[in-house]
This record gives sequence, structure tokens and C-alpha cells, in this order.
Amino acid sequence: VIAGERVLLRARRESDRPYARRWFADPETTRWLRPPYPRGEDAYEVSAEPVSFASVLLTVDDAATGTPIGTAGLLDASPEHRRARAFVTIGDAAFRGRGYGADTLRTLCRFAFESMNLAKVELAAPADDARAVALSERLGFVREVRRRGALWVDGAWRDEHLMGLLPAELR
Amino acid sequence: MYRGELVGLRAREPSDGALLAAWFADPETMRWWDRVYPPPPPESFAARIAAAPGPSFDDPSFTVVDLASGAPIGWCGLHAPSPEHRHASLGVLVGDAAYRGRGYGTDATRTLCRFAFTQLNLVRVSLTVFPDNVAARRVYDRLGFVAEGVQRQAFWKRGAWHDLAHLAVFPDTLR
Repeated sequence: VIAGERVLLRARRESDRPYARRWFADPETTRWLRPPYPRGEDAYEVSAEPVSFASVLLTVDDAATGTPIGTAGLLDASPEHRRARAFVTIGDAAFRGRGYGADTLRTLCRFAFESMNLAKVELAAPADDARAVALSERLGFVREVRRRGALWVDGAWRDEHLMGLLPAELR
Repeated sequence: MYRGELVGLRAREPSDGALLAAWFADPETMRWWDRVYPPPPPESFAARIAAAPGPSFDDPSFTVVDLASGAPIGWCGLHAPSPEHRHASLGVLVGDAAYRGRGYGTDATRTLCRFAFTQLNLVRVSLTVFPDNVAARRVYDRLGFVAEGVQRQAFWKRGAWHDLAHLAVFPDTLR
């Protein structure tokens, strides 16, 4: 288990599926998620393999109650280039806007640097997803690339930020 | 075959495998390529081409030929076209050294982008380039690519970190 201040990040398990089904049935959760298609219960990837460098797929628990509240992970970790792409989704609406997402992302980045020995964490955020952009900037992520019209969401072309964080920048 | 001014783009053939293997093993070619490991043997290139169903929306990958002689001189392709977002990234390689610095790479890039816009109905084609690859950047500028930013510390190669510049071209900027 990877402990943050108010969240615990742990390997996913089968019993997370009913929670995941509720998260991904909430349009507020899925608004910015791509691809845009509805997800069934089996879309929540629970692997029999242990969490490893190549596949860090986690469930986020509220540390106080042990309730699963979302999902987080590191994708495409490259051993040579020592970077990976982070994602965080707080699926339980009751835990949004209260610092759980920030604590999750910070805990995930710290794990990436301190335990996986990565030298950079990157993420992609829709420019119109103000909450995601502001949250990652607060943690120290830098806007590196603005990909014009890279996303089609809700009937409009939108820009996408590629953001990057070096170990010394994490706040 | 899809035709530009100097080059044509045709389906890859298994017999291109040996050339592709040689091009991807050429240090001059690979100097600016974001790739670390030596290429697989020629047979595996040939086998992969033979197994591929031919160019399609999901795999728009071509052999670049000199229109004048028909000789294969390089490779180009679009990577991961997205039907919802209608964009792709591109790669172009002029493997035959005799054709470098003479406009063939530029023409191949333009022809591939035109193919992406006019045939695949994409609206955005992007690429990454080492920021200090001045020759390539001049070509992309001339073609109408727009700089979108620099990905810091993106790549470890030859004992150092390298940034990658991100560029994109659109139907109304392609020249």
C-alpha cells in the first residue's frame, strides 16, 4: 500500500468493480475521459499479475474509512527514458473538490520518483478541464506542449496540455 | 500509388524488408531518431510486412519511391490515427543517402500530410523532433508546421537527456 495523507493507493481487486461501475456511470467522471464510449463493469482492469514497473494500475481508498473512491496509475513507464504518464480519477463525487485528487497525484508522483526511480512524470490534460490543469500546476507540473485541437469533446475541438514534472519541482 | 512531385508512396512489399533493416541500422539515419535498440533482422521486417493487410486507416504505412526511377528510397507512415479526434503523428525516413538534402524528404512529408487530409479526412498531423535538428526544423517550417512546445527531458540517448520539440500541421497551414 502506498500511503498519502488522506488516501491509500493499492493494487486493484475484483471487489472494486461495483464501485468502478458507479464512478464511470457518472457523466461528471467521464466528461473528459477518452475514448468516449460507455464502459461495462469488466472495463475496470483488474490484473492477476502483481503491480510492476510496466503496469501501475491502482485503486484509491479513502484512508479514513477504507472506501474505494477512485483510480490512479502510471502508464507507459520507460526504463531508459525514466518517465511515465500519470492518471488520476476521483470517481466518488462526495470526495471531489476536497483535496483527495491532489493528495492522490502527489502520492503517485512521490512513489514514481522515490520508489520507481523515475526522473519525470508526465500527464495530458484537456486545456478546458480547468480543475485538472490547476491541480497539476499547484503540484509543480509545467505546461510543456499545447496541442491545438487535439481533442474532440462534447461537439467541439479542444486543445490538450502535455504537462511534465521533474523531481525537484514536486510540491 | 499516391504521388507527390518527386516521390510516390506505395504499399510496402516483403521485398522492402532488407532495405528497411539496412536503413534502420544506418547510424546517420538513426542519429536523430528517438530509438535506442538496433533494428530486428531483415526477415522479421519482411514477415511483418507480409502479415500486414496493406495500407488502411489503421496502418497508413508506405514505402517511399523515387518517381523518376521507381527505386525505393525510404519509408513513411502515420501513427495511431484517431477516428474520433481525427489526428495522427507521422514519421518519414529517407534511408537512401543519395536522396538526402535534395527535397525528397520534404516532398514525402508534404505528400503524406496531403494524403492524411485529403484521403483520410484527418485535421491534424503532428510530429516530434530533436530541437537541435536544424535541417529538419527548417523543412517543417517551410511545410507550414506550427511549434506547439517543448517536452523537457523526453529522451535519453548517447549518455544525455534530450528535449523533444512538438510540431503540428493543419489543412489550412500545409504548404
